[in-house]
Amino acid sequence: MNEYSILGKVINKENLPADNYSVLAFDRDNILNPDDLLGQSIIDPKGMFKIDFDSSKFSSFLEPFEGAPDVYLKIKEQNGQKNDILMTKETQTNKEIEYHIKITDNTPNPNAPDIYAGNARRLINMLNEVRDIIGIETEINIDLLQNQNLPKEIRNRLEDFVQGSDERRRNFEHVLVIVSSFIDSYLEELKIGGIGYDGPQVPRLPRREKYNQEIIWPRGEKFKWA
Amino acid sequence: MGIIYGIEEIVPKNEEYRLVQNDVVETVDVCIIGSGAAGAVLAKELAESGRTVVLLERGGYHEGKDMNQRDADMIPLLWKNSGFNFDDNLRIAIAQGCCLGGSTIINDAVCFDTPNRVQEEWEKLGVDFGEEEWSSQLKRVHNILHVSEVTDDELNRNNRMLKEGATKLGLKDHRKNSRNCINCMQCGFCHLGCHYETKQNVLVTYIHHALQNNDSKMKVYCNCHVDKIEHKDGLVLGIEGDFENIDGKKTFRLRVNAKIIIISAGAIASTKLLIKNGISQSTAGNGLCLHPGIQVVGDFDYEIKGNQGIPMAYTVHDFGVSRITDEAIRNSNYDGSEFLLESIFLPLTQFSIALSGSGIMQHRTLIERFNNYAMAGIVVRDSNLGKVSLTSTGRASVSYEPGENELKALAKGAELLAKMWFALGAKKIIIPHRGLSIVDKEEDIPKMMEAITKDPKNLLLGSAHPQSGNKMGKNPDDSVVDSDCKVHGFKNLFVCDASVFPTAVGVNPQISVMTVASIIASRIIRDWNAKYSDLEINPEIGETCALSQPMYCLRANLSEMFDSTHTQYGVDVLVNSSSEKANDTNWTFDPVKMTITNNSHWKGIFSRDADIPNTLALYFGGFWKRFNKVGEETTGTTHPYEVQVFAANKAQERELDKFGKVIVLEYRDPPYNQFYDVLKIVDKDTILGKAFFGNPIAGNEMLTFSMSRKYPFEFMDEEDHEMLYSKMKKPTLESMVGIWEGQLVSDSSWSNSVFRFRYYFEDKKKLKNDYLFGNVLVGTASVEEKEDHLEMHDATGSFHDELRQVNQDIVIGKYYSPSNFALGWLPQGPSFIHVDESKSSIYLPYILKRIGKETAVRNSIG
Repeated sequence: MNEYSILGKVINKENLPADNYSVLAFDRDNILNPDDLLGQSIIDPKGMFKIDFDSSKFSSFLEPFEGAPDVYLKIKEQNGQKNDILMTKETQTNKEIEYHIKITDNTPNPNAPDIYAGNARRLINMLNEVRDIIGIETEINIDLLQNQNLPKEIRNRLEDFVQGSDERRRNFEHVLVIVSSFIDSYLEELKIGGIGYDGPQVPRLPRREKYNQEIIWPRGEKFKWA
Repeated sequence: MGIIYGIEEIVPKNEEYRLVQNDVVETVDVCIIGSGAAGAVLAKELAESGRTVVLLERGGYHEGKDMNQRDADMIPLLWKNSGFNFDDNLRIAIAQGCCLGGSTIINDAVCFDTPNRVQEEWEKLGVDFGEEEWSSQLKRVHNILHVSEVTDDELNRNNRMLKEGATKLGLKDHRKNSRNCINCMQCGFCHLGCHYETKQNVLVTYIHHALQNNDSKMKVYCNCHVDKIEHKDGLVLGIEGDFENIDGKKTFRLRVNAKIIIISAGAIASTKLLIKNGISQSTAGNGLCLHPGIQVVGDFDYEIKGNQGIPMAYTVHDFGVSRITDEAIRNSNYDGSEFLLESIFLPLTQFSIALSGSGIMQHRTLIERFNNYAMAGIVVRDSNLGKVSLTSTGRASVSYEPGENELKALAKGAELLAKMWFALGAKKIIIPHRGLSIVDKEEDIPKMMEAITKDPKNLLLGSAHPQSGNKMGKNPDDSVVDSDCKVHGFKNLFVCDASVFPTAVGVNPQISVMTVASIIASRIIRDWNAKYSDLEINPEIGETCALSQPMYCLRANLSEMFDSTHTQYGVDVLVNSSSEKANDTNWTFDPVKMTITNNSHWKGIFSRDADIPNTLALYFGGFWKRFNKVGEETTGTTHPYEVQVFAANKAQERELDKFGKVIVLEYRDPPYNQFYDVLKIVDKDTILGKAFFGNPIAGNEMLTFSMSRKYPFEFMDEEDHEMLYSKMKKPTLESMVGIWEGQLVSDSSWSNSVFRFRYYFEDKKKLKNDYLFGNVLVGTASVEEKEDHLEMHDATGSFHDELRQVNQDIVIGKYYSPSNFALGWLPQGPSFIHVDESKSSIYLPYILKRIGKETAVRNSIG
């Protein structure tokens, strides 16, 4: 019985199915043991492929205790050319991996600017604005209510605003939770290890690095409602 | 080919991109403010019909390669207000894009056609789109966006949970969504921009097509914030704004003169722009809809990994306006607002919003279960309950409370989803309610529903579809635009975005927005020759930097202008009038052009950069120079306003190596003879200058300035203010009613707007003035008519204001101290304080500008 599945979709740089390619799946082994071919598949006209295999494909007398395969894919042209078009990263899986791959050229520019560098300042500006809402405008409106001869509509609105100040303070705690998450997201690498969150699939500075446009979704279980 | 301009340095991209390095003036057929779903459609259609188009966008230009799938990096870059976009009570998080392509860059690519029920409803409310218009433009939008139905393979586990759960509950009308994607990579990071450019947002479709067209006469300006619409008698004359850097600081200016202006800035920003400029103040922003929603999360003991794949690919329509039958509604006796149940999943950081009903510590524990959650959202088709207005600090105020029917919808939706999740084996349900965030048995579902309906203030809502507020309709008393999206009362001003929907559309709105925009574009093209082509555009330069008005320049531009200009005249042109004081022989005011001519001296003006040293120079470093002919010599005096210095100098025509033919001012007396000025006279009333330390052959450059003896009204000094006041007349009491912003006048410069007045009649007889000074001091003054001015007295009793009228929208005022105050020891008066010897008093000179007849600032004064 095939316990493992590798499935996915491959498109080309025009976002069209890469149906003139085929996919080979391998299990990475140590230097004593050549990598195991887990299976191969032609990419169909919709760009889809699927490779099912069992543990006999990657366990051997050289690695009898290998619990799970360390999978990587090679994509080759179907016309039999020897060069690999693309080789993915390794990913370990307990049950299945889904891939989405876009075959593109990728010329890095090591001098590309870090366009995210100003974001901390943007965030601080926005927090200041949020603070103004719960601070300054409440004070102004309290003064106005005490001193002004206001039309009914404005008076009602100001009263609602002032009465909502406690609620706004509580809601600001909610905003702080989001900020806390933002800060935590800088520790995403830890979360990826801890809770198995896949995380971003591209480098942080994509213009500076050479990388494959590949999305790799490992899963430990088959879907209960499949 | 079209070009994108911006102020951020970026690497070469798909489209041609250039940096803005000077103030910009454009004169075109069409100016569109906002590059989202509507603005991009209008820009492409009108550009391809042969019109010259300028498309303005506040955010930056970012492509697929810039989308790095990290919340902390992408949300500040792509989302409005870096994601912190809330209603006034900070309870409803409103997701909007602020980047080239607008919200289409960050949405989930869900495509629903405008439901027939909604089209029929809008028709009854005065929208006269024909059936053929709807269908033909819808088809066009579908083709350009490559709209197609999600395939079965593209339903990820989270989507299939909703499908499975809806089936188990016996619901019948649930289906796969359509999306604007070509072979989606299914990364799950739609909200953070599509790295792979498979999502067919308006940047890679409409804007790209328009720019790549060889005949394109479209220009796109990014990082540009428009805040001024100049209009008169129902005709928009032009718009102005500033380019902003990442700190939000203003850099270069923009002026666009166009035959037609279309505002497509989104439901909140479009309204803000209208109100701020005195347009549709009693109708704009009324009846905002938000499609309020919450997410309901189920926690399972099996793996789901909902983040893997397309976030929104499946929807339950049984209770929505898009439903096929009423069966589910009838069977459940449901009478609340219509709503959809939509599958949705979020990357880790955004997911925390769904869990934030709990406290911070509980939240951190819950997030560890991320891979075992299923999530779906409720999107409510709300009534027109909200309002957009301005606050006293100039912010857009969004006031919104869900009504009873909306709460019923949220409760019903939460009930259905909770039942689904329990039916699929959930161990607990999580909702964003502070009072009851976790439900761990099915019997407690009624408590959850009660918490939603009875304690709504603790329910943390989200909105991704702000709409309506500037409704289409026939009646100008309760709508802002007509069926052509033209603002009532205007010949050439349009609003076209989600804000024009008369009611909430009830489904994800991008296709509706784009279809409406497509219809409007076709109508404008159809009517162009008859209605718009003959509109006369005056190519004004507004407040942008130019040789004729160097006072509007930044330091760098001023210096460049100096270096590239040749002096046009000799020293004789420098000579001023014989009188050193302004009087009727050497001072005039042009009320049409709003310019002052003052030949008692040349007023020195620094650049408008906003850094600290320049701000000090701006307010306290002003000066004048005055020149006389003495025999064959032209001599002069330089006087800084704030100090008793009168530095004598001599002006000579010279040829300098670096600058060519110039006029050199050499100072006679120490210590000023360590300095010299180099002047270039660009016209008879305008001089560019640089000040140097050292000798005229090889001095060190210190600063650049300009001088004028004919300058805009906004550059008047205190003497000008006094002269102008003396010539103006008393306004009528009736003409004062409305909202006014005030700026203080100093010799060197005016202040920013620091106070606001609201004039109104009390008991229909007494004119009163409510004032708000510096966002701190508030009070009420009474207004009396005197023989030649209006006078205001406040609670202090001893201070008072005197007012005269410059024109219908500008008043000139003086805020007087009691007599004898400090006169003896402040003979000259520091900046902003002017001595009135005739009254033995001092006053603050100021100018009031009307900002609206109606209550523009509806959340505060006015």
